[in-house]
Amino acid sequence: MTTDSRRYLDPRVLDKIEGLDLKARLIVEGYISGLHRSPFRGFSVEFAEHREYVPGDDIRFLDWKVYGRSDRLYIKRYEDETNLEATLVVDVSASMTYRGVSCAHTKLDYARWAAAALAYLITQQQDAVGLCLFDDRVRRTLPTGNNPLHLKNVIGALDQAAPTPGTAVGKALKEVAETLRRRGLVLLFSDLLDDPHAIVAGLEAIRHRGHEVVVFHVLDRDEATFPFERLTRFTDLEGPTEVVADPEALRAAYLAEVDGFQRRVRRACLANRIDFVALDTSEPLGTTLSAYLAKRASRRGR
Amino acid sequence: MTVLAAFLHPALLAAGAAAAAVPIIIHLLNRRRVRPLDWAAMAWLLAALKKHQRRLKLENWLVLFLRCAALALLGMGLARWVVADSALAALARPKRTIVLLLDTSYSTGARTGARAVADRVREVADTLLAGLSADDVAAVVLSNDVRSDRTGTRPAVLLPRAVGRDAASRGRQALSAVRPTEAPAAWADALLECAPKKLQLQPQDVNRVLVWVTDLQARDWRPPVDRASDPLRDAVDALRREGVELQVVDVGGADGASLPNLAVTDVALTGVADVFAGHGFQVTVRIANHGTAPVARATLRLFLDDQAAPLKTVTVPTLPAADARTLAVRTVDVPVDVPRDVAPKLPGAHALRAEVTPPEGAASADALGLDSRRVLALDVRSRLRVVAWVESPAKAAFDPAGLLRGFFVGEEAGDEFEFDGVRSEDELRRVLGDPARRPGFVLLGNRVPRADATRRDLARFVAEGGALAVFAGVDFDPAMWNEAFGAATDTRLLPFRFGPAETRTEGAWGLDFDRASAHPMSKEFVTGEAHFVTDVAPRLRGRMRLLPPEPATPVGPAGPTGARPEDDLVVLRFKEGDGLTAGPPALVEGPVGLGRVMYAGFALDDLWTAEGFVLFLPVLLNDASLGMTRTSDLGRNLRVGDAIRATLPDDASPPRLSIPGRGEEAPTLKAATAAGERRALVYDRVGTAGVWRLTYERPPERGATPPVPRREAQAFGVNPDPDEGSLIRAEHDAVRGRVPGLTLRVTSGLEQGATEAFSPVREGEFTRWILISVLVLLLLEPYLAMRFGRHDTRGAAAPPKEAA
Repeated sequence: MTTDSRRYLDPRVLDKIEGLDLKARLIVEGYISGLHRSPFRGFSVEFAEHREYVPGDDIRFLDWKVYGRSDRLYIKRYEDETNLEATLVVDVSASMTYRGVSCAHTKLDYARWAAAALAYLITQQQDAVGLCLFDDRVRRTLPTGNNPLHLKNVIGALDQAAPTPGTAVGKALKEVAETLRRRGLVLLFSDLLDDPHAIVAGLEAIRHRGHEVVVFHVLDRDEATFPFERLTRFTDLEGPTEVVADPEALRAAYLAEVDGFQRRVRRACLANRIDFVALDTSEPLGTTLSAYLAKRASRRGR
Repeated sequence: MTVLAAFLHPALLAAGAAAAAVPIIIHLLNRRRVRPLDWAAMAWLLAALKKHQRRLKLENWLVLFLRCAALALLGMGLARWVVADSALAALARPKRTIVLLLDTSYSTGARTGARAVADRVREVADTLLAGLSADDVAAVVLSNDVRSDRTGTRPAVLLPRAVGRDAASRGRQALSAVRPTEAPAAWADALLECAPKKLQLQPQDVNRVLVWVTDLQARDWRPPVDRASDPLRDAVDALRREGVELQVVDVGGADGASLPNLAVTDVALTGVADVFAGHGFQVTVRIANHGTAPVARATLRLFLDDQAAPLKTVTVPTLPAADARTLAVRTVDVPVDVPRDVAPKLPGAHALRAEVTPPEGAASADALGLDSRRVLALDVRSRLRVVAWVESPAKAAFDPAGLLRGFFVGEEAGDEFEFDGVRSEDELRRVLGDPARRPGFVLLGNRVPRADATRRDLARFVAEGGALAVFAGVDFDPAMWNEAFGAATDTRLLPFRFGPAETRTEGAWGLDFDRASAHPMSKEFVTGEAHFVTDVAPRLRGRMRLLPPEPATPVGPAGPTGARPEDDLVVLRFKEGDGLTAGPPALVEGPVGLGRVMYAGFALDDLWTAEGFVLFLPVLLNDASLGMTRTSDLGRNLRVGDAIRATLPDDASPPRLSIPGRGEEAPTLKAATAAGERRALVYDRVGTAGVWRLTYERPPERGATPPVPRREAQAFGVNPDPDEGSLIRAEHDAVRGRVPGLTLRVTSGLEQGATEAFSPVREGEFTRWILISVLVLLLLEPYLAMRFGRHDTRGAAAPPKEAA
């Protein structure tokens, strides 16, 4: 990776690049491909060799049969599977079209870039990737596939996804859970603006079917900090609701709500062994993704 | 409890009230300028609103109130809120404004032992100034201006408004100048000098107190003669209206305890107006005992000029005590003979000094030294040379020239005069031109000079300072006199024209001095020296009329104009037969050039020896000759505060004025404004008793050998007011009765902390506390605003960078 290519990972630069596929490649090649090992792994594994146990190794991989026979501790090592099926679940509701005062792109744009980048990455690993777009229900589904043409279709679908009013994340996730047949990886990109109970229920439904889930919580910087000062009339992007409020007076309470929401969702994710990744649309996407993927890769190596 | 509030700058209060509305206006304006925003996270926003709506409203109001209150309080603070209530005012730790009015009148020179009252005045002032705190304001006023080049009769500001430590240090430094002056205090004027405006006090100078430090001389507190007009009370009331509280500190000692004092209240020549060089004379010294106990065997000493040894020492008869209640003093006149052997030997300016001292062992009988001595300025004369050219009337029973000679140099005449009788104009001219025989007084009896040369010589004689007396004679011809003395410019000796003369052979006219005249030449006879005429009251049979001068003919100094009624020219009048109607003049006298001229509208004839007249001529001759040739005996003896007035010959050099205790000054002269007028000196800063000398030089006399300049001097005797010697003190009750509401204190109670005791807090300014409150609000507002989330907390809830 060169310094020049990293330059393109800034959201402000990505904004100016035409074509989601190119953006996805830039993100992946410019940053994420620097990782030595695949951050994702399959569920079917193939034995490769034994290695003598050293303290610190995960005891789940001890070969008890060898221990029974030889009274010595060996660790089983596996080759990576390449049959991972990853499904990108992207929220295309109207709330995702919010663009902050100081931001040039919407949350949906940011989610598209992230989803496309991961699709590219997964496809590069010879794994299969699918797509599911939803608002208050699943709007479009692309089955998993791993050829370049499929990737092109996925990215094309992401690119063409039009925002629609109404959000029901929890309900949509349950639909997604029912449509996925094989166990695999579900990558959710959403602002999660729904009832937290429903969201958690939806996530649990997917998890119970044996899928691994990663939640990318996409928020604009304004939504996270509520920086407004003047009296403001807030109009709901997804409905007729209007509220006139003094943001300065309301800021603390609002931020407490945001914080409370994120805590609940995080807690639920933690309980269900779901990764929760907060995405700030003003932050460089490559940095955020690579940090998460690096952490995931290191976790897998243990 | 009455709480009176006042704002020193009400306009700023209104501005503060207006400013308090600004946050409300901004709030309302902001409500109108709502910013529209499409928002995604509406659920969180609604949840926050739902949970905190009531609290948010409360916080809104609280912050709005804080902002409004801060601005309103700021306006109130700047408007300088003053509370006029002792309890509340004390809480404000207010500053004090102390105006010290210090007595520097002559009575503060009184001593008891080694300490003078003035020392106590300084101590009190020093203690009060030392007690000033950093915020206090002080000013110091003196009842009498102590500057050496001032008369001391007027008050003066020693220290205008000063603040805090600066006031204390500067004030205490200035106190070193406090000393007794030689003039009484004019308290009403001094109080007016303490007016806040004059001292440049500011509206914020609250708790104003005037501390009046004085020895409470009884004379200062006597009720006014005219009850309707009381300047002292008016001045006190004026100060009270300005919010000034008055307190009097009595530094004179115990209540009503008076100090004794001996004073010389007058020194005067006895029986004569002139002292001649080498001649003895007598003076009368008047001595007063202002103490409340009689004083026996006091000593009076008489000194000449600066001589250390007295001319005479006299034991004074017992001096009776003064009446402490009425302040009435009974004086004792002590006649003192100054014999020829100790009298001034040389003519010119001299001064006698009389000093009274208490008997040995009773020094305390005289607490004040200032008025224990008194000076008398004397113009000691040389012998007067009289030249008379007299024609004897026909069939006269006696020769007038002989009469004059007998008067001036006869056996009983003494030796003040020399007399020369001349018989012709030529002889008169020779005498006038001879420096050795030069006369001081020329008398023309029934004669008029006919030769122009004689007239010119006479005119020059008068212009240079000689005295000329002209008697009309029986055959008086007014036209001839007008021609002789008034026609030609270089010989003019008349500021008027003579009218027709009248004589009576029977009966007589009486003199009437009751009516003053506007004629400039009348002054000498209508006032002052004219008394001899009124005493003798002769009856005259000759008279003549003075007419206004020709309009085209300018006259001498301030001569009358033709528009004046004839009566205005009258100097000495004869009464008409009924004794009521004023008639034309018979006798006029006045200055011409540096000399003087007298015209008598009657003859030197036998009538003067007639019964009823016999005394008048000697008196007239004596007083005319001495009076007209006297340099000046008016204005030579004056009081502290009076102005020295003198005239100088035209040929005098720039004079020097020698001032007791101060050395010499070159006084400014007022130039003569009219022909014949002399240069004048008016020196109005006479503040020190003693002998003041004005010295100058004149060119040598004509023909004098050697030709050395003549050094001349005029002495002025300056004395304190003889009525002010009393040190009898007022009782405190009398003072309180004189000015109700005054607080009196005595010095024995003046110790540390006296400043606070003297200025009880009446008004407190809360500005400091209000501004502190504003500061607290200004600090509280952002704190609360931040706490309520109104200030920048961006990033506080930013999403974590890492996954949970």
